[in-house]
Amino acid sequence: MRSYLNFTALVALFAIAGWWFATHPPLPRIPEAAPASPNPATIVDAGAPRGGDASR
Amino acid sequence: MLDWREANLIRKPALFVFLHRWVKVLAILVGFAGTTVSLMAVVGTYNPMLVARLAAAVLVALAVPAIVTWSIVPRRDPLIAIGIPSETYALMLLAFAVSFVVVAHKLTAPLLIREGDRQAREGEDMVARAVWFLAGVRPPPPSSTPSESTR
Repeated sequence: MRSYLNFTALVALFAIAGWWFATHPPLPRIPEAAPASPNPATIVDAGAPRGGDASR
Repeated sequence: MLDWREANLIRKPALFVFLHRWVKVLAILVGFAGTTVSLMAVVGTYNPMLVARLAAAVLVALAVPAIVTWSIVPRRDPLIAIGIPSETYALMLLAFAVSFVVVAHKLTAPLLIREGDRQAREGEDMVARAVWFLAGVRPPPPSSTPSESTR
């Protein structure tokens, strides 16, 4: 009895896996999102003079 | 009316015994491979070293079914105990692999993709392709290599 149950369970697991891979073929890979980088337009150069050019 | 013990001891058809034996062998081989790469994908989240991933995965994959077998095998009834270890290993390894790869696919696919990337960086192209297949993605084109950001 135990052998029949074990056999049935193993066949069921193989069937689930077979159905899954038959119905879900491998898809092209979607590149992972790159880490968020700051917008170059908003980058503030810490070394730049603030409030305009003082020499003018 | 046979009781449970007699039902387990009754002689089974030779064809069933043959089929069950080879289904068990296949389940242990496929289940061990699937369970090992699944556990490597999990361990790789914390430790990317190949040796650490492989050792932890193989240890868990072999030890857990052994502990379960040890706890359920009837020591006073050796006839009933025949076949329990192989049946436990086959069922547990295959059930874990199917659960990880198929049932929890949405949660585990990213882990498997990153494990495939690690395998590719380590030069294990065949393993990497198998793991990417389990993750449900195609291998990247030959010109591109997995980026460091996918670690």
